[in-house]
Amino acid sequence: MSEKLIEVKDLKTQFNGKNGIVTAVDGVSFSVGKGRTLGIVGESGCGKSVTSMSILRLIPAVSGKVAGGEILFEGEDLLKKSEKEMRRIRGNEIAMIFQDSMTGLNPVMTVGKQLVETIRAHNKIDKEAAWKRAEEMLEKVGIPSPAQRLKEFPHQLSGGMRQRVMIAMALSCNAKLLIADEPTTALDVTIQAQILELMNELKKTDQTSIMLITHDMGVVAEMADDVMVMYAGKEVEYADARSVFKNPLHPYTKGLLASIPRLDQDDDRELYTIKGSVPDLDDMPEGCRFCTRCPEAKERCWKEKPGLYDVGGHKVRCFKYEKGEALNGGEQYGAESDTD
Amino acid sequence: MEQNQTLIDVQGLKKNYITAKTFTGKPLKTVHAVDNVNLCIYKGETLGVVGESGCGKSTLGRTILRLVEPTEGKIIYNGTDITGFHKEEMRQMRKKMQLIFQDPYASLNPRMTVLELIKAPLDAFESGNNEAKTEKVKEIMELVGMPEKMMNRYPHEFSGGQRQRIVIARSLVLDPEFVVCDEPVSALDVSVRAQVLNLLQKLKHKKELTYLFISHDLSVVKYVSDRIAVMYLGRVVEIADKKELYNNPCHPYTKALLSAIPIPDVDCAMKRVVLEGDVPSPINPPTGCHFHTRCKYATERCKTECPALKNINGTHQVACHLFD
Repeated sequence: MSEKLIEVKDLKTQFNGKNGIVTAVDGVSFSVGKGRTLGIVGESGCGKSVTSMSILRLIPAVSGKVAGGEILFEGEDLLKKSEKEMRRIRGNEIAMIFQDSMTGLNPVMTVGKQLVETIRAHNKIDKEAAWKRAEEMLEKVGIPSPAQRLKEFPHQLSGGMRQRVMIAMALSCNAKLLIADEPTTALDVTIQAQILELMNELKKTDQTSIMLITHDMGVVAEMADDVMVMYAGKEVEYADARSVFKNPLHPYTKGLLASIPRLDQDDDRELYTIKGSVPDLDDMPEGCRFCTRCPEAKERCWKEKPGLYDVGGHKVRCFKYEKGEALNGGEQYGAESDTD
Repeated sequence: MEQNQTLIDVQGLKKNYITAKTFTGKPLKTVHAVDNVNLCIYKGETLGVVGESGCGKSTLGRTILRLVEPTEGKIIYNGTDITGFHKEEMRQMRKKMQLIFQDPYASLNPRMTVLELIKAPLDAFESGNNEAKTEKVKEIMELVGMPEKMMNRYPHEFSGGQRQRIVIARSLVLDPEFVVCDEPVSALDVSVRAQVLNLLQKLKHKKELTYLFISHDLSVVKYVSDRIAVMYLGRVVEIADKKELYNNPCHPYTKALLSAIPIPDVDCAMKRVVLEGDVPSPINPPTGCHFHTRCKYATERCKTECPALKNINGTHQVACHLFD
């Protein structure tokens, strides 16, 4: 693995809930190498977005806080930085694109003005140079007639175009790490294909590291070098993409992969289903958080919390792999589940 | 599938929305949401409708149910033209035609209990005493996998998947023949999505339903449908049996759409056809074939002449000049 750009150790983020404090991210550790893409997958509420907000220190102080852990960006702990230092890091070092490009852009400012504002906030250059730079950036992300587009307002652009502007904005300061939080979820498939293509290209040319947060296993398979699967605020499986897709170990990952209807497979079997639904954050089971839905849960799983075990570089949070190897084979889940 | 008996025959269906008028009230801008659609839905089948946002797939579903009045064209249900039905006749038809909505967070009244929600269609259409109706609600709840004891709870107490089960129960309590499923799983998480898809399949076989299944997700449509129609800017561009469509897509748009879908496997070599540009606005659609602005095979003829749906291989129909 290449040099680590960012390393997150035992991150814990808490929110003030109605019935006391709720831990949304509970001791998550991962790292992103230079020029690599880490895919973070999980269902809604599993803490994947909160993780990225914590890295940029964007959790509003009134509603929650990062309660523990370290976020080492190029060796320095972001949690110890002052707000002023963070302002410099956001955008310059770490940029972020959000799911909904319309809320990310200011509707009453032209695209150009917003881009120039960003560029000038982070670089000491004059307006004209910044405008020129903005035009170059739009061209780079594949927007036709950029000079014209700069004078337009966000609502005049289509969804895909707006997401390109967001990417251009994120890239305009040559950030080393790009956090993309569901960048294509709001887009149509043909536009999604364009944006994914663009992100892959930029990764190659600029050596940007990407943290890609998504719920779409297809997108992850295509983009990511490493994959972290999250469930209810904890990472349950963390390995390179090939191992996760070819040899998933955790029952949740296996179930997730088996429950997706596949375009490339020609069978009419019933889909595998993961029983039930994600438990509430303030009502988590005592032991393994997945035990309520796990087909392989034993008595122990209900009582004790499993650690993150290392199976030849493939990390998994399940007692089955406590000895460092699978106790009973890495069989894939088929469709022979109970008929629900 | 049974003997290909036609349940619904849609002929030349059009739906226009006027978005701007001149000073004198003449239409200035018109959105052609559904533009001359012809299709048949056979008894007992699932017809999938796919397309990107704004292609008119939801409007098509709603127009067939006459929740939206068609501008032109006919809808023939079981041999009777229902386009001219007046209100009361249509109300009676609604027993047979139901709709499952996309967002289970928006389609359930938060102040009604599960029992009241599912019973509402029975109260609207069926006479009979309360006990018989409650009995029927219990029956349908069991069928969709909701424990009977949940009957007196309110929607906010349920997760998305459970709510969608309530929505499905409510749609099926009158024993309809035809159900339009408008993106029924789009708002759900992956692990719950499979549960709802399996449930829809099970109910279809048990109750001998006919589905019109609308979705933007081709993998989901492939899983549930027998035949699939692909829409682009209000028109059906290709319609074929599921296997035929996925193995032998003909229209350039279908090809691009299929190749754009990321497959959850690291070994899938991608021969991707990436389309350039965006979907044009339906207010001012391109002349001729709507797709010619993004099609790499487009010729002069495509710019002027609109291709009609033609049979190319048995029941496989495609609207493209390449297949003349």
